[in-house]
Order: sequence, then C-alpha cells, then structure tokens
Amino acid sequence: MILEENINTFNEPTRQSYVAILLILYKVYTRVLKQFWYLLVPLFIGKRTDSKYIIYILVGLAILLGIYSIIDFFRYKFHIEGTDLIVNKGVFSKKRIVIPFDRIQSINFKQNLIQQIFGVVGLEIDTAGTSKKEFDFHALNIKTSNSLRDYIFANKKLTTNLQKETTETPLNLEVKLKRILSLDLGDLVKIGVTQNHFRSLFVAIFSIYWLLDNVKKAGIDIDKYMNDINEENILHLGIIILLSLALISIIAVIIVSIFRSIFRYYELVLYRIPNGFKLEYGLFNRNEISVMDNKMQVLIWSDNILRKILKLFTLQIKLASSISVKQRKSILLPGIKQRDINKIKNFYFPNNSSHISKFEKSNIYYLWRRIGIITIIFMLFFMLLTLFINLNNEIISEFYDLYIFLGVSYFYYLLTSYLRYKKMEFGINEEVLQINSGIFGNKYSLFTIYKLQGVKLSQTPGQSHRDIASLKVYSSAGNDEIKYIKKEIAEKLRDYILFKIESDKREWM
Amino acid sequence: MKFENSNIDIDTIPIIDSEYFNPLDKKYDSVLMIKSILFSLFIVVGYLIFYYLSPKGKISSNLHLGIIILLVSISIFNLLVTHLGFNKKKYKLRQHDLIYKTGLLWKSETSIPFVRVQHSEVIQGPIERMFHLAKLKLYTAGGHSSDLSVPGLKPQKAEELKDFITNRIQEEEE
Repeated sequence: MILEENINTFNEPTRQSYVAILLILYKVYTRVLKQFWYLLVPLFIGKRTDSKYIIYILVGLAILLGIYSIIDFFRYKFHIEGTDLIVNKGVFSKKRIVIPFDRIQSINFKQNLIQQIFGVVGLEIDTAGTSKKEFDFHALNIKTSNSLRDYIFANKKLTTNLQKETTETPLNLEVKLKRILSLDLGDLVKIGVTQNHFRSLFVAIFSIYWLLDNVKKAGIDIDKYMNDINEENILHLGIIILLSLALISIIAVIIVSIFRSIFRYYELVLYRIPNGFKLEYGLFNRNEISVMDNKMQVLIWSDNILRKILKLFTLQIKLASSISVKQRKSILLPGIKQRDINKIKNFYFPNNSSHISKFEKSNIYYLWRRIGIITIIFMLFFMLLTLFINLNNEIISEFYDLYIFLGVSYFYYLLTSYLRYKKMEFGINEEVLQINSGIFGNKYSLFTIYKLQGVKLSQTPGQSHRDIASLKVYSSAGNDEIKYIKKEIAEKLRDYILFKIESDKREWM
Repeated sequence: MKFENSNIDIDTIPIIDSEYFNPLDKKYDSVLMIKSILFSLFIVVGYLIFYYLSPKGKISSNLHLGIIILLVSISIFNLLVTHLGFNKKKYKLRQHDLIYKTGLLWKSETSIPFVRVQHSEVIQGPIERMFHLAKLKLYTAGGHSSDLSVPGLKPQKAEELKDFITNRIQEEEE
C-alpha cells in the first residue's frame, strides 16, 4: 500500500531535495545583497587602489555564506513521530521543532522558476499561534510533498473526531481529488478587464497632467502653439487631445490588468480534497494552497460595477489567523459565478443551512447622521475658502473651479452615502450571520456564528436617544458590524450569538 | 461527540439583563481622575514649553491665553466626564461568559464567551499599584479590538476571577 510506504519514509529523518542547496544559496545571497548593496558602491565609483582587497573580502564572504548554506541544508531534517511533525535544524546551535498535526492550519506549495525547472516544490506550513513561519522547505520533490501533505491531513482528521467519514474515505487520497471549478484564458481576460480601474486611471491622468506640465516648463509652449491654430479649432483640438489621451491610458491600463491577471491566476483550479479544498494557480510562480474545512471562519464574496454586468464575483475564504499574523490567511477566487459560490457554500454548510430567508435593513437615522456630518464638513470648507479669498483680497472668479470641485464632491459623498445605506443589511439563521454592504458594488460577508470570538453592542448618544444600537462581531478572520438596528433586536442577536458560541460543541478551528 | 441541530425556541435563550452588574472598586475612580489630570498636565505643560520656545511677538499673547484657557476648560470637562463615567463601568460574570459595560455618552457592552478565551492575565500599572488595584485581561483570537479588560479590581479578586475563568475553560474543553 502506498500509505504504508509513506509512513516508513517519514519515520526516518529526511533531507530536502539537493536542489534546495541552490535555492538556499539564492535566497541567502539575494537577502545579503539587498541589505548590504551599498557596500558595493565604492567598487564602481572611481579608481581605488584597495578595490582589489574589497573584492577578496567579498569573495571570501560569499564562500563563507555558501558553506553556511550547505551546512544549513545538511542539518535540516524532518520526520514524523506519531501525529507530530518534527524538524531538526540549526548550524551553530541545534534546534528541534515539534508541530502537532492539529496545530497545522494549512500546507501551501509554491513553485518559482527554479523550482519548476527541477520539478520540486517549496513547502510552507502555517501553524496557529505563531507569528513567523516555522517551517520553510525550499525544495521537496513533488511526490514526497504530496504524500507528506496527504499523510498529515489524513491523520489530522483521525485525531480530530470528524464524524463517520473516516471509514468511507479511501486512504489513497490522490484519487479522491474532485475538480470544483477552473478558470480558462477567457475568464482571466474577463477578470483583467473588469478590475477596478479607477485607481490606475487616476494615476494615468495624473501622469499625463504632470507630463504636459513638464513639456511646458521645457520651453515648448503649448498655449502658443494652440493660439497659432485657427481659433474655432482650439476647443475642438483640446477635446480631441484629451479624449485620445484618456482613451490610450484606459486601453493601456486594461491591457496591463489583463496580463497581470493571466500571470497571477493562470490555470486556476480548485479541487475538493477530503475535509478541505486545494487551490492551484499562477504562470511563473505556481502556487498550491490547501485548507481544511474547519479552519474556515468567514466567506466573503463581492463584485464591482463592471463585474456586476458580467455577473462575476470574487470569493474569499477567510481562515483563522493567529493574533499577530494578519496577512495572507485567506484563499482568493476571482471571477467566479454565483453558481460556484453556492457550490462552495454547500460544502461548508450542507443541506442549504446557510440559506437566509429574510434580510433586515439598517435604520434611516444612519443616513441622516451621515448626511448631516458631511454637510457640516463641506459648509466649513466653503466658509473657510470664502474667508480666505476675502481676507487676501483675491478675485473670487479665479476660484470658481475650486468651488465647483467642492460642490461636485459634496454631491458625490451624498450619493455614496445613499448607496451605502441602501446596501446595508443583515440576515441570520441558526447557523450563519450574513452582513451585506457596498457602495457601487456589493459585498456579502457570511460568518459561521458558533466560530465567532465575541460581540460588542455599542451606542452613540444619538443612537441611545432613538433606541438604536450597532452590533460588532469579532471573528478570528476579521470583524464586521451590523450598523444602526433597533436596540431590542441588537440585544436579541447578541444573546443568540453568545448562546450559540457557548452551547455548540464543534471545534471552531 | 455527536452534533445535534434541534430547533431552538427563541424565548428560551438566556438573555443579558441589566441586573447583577458589579461596580468597580471605588478607588478606581481616583485612579481614573489621576490619569486624567496627569494627561491634562502633560498637554498644558507641553503647550507652555512651546510658548516659551516660540519667538515672541509672532503670535499675540491674547491668543496664547485663549488657547491655555481652552485647554484648561477641556481638561476640567474631561475630568468631570471621567468621574461621571466611572459609575457606568460595570462587569458581569455569567456561567459561560464575561460582560463589560462602559461609557457615559458613547456606550458599549462587550461579551466574551470563556470557550473562546485564548489566555488571561492580571495586570497592574504603576498608579493601580499605589491604590492596590489590578486589571483582568482576556485575550481572544479575534485580534486586539476584541480583547476584554476589566479594570479596578482588588488584586485578590482579579486572581480569583482569572482562576475561575481558567477552570471554566478547562471544564468546557472536556
């Protein structure tokens, strides 16, 4: 049996693939170079007699670092004892790290170009409760790493009593991979096109403006050039130039986005593995991430204006993160359809238990308060500007564009407040709490209630006056707030959430 | 362990009523006042130093006086709000969770179930130590904003609470 073999393999302390030496060397050299590159500067500036010695020292250092890396490689061994993964390492002092399978959150495979050429993968093992990665395998051959992962996940499942499935799941896990969804080139182009371009566009317009400004400074007087042209055409030409520049920058931005999404998410495939998901993606850097179902805390799916037209969403599966590690603890699936989201939801919440029949809106006081605050701020701006103009005896007509800008942004904020209010709602059933939000797009956050960490009920003076409250929910993968609901309802929700956390005996991670 | 998902009658869920909330130790009021005064002093003294260092004549002395009067009155107002707010700080211990209530104008009520507490500790700041008071802090995996602190406890009481919670966590795990 295959698994029998694997157990035997991992019982013995094992080294990584020899390719790891190359990767360690590469990593060590780039790290040292990044920190001490300025030491090389004197080599290139001017003729110095001692530059020969500097080269000797550098070569010596490089050799020492190389030896260090090689010792590091030979000292780095791992094996399995029972349900613990054990790593022995250390060049000067010996270190022994013990990681119980239960503490392993996810096992991620990564392949950069070197690793792809040699057919090895880098392995990252994320554990709960520590801030830094304790395990960083540079190169394991694919077969070893697959069987290591499968062995850990299979035995992890046995130790955390997860229902009756254990008897039904064949031990050879490779066969059980079930493809849930995949993205083809067309999907990736769609993702690139529908990226939120506003920021890139802003950068592009700003650069054009800056460019024109510099052209002027360089002595080429565009205005004069413009004046030479027939007066009727000035306006015409100006608009044409602006429009074509805008068009060019939009096209450029979109093309860049398309390439980025292709590089990043090339051949993205999501597989179902026993008690978890496995995600593969990337062109040059091939990534593979596996997550266990019970680590999932929050599901968030969202769209934007453009994606709304194509009915595409980005789904984030957020995992429990330790206190100090905030970043990169989630799986991101771009450009997927509602159907796929429902499919994934159904794995986490079988029998449609995440279905919410009724959503509640927030109180209208939220909108009035926001409008009030925005109005006060803009009135202040308006008054300060007018005061400034009067005090400095400036001509008011020179500031018309600033006034227009203020007015337009005021209405923009009013509009976004209204849209934000319109989209704010929440729904709850026995198992899940869903909070919806968004301005132009939509964002839906689905919390597993019993996995929440705590709740906070809060009231501003205005809210107390109107018997309204907000309820903040804390999860180990991020927080959210149900804003401006009746205090009575907020209290009921809080009581139910606490009851659910305290009475549900399932493991939260 | 078998998981059951039976229907729940919404009226049978235990609710948090406003009764049985414990006040903090009276001495903690003094601690809060001292902290508030120290903070005000820090700001006012800071401003005075700025006043003496800044070149004379650039800003009219009336403006300086106005700012100092403003700072002092804000400090007095702050002291008053702190004092009135003290009575609003309460905590409640239930079988499965700890609830801490605070706020005179901006109210909040945080609840942490013991099953989600990662670890707990008793902390004593320098001013608290002078008044023989301690603070109980519960840490969860929900990040810094969801950590719960109950200040103004007698050190012995804080330790007792901590032990109680630690025991409860162990019981829940079994």
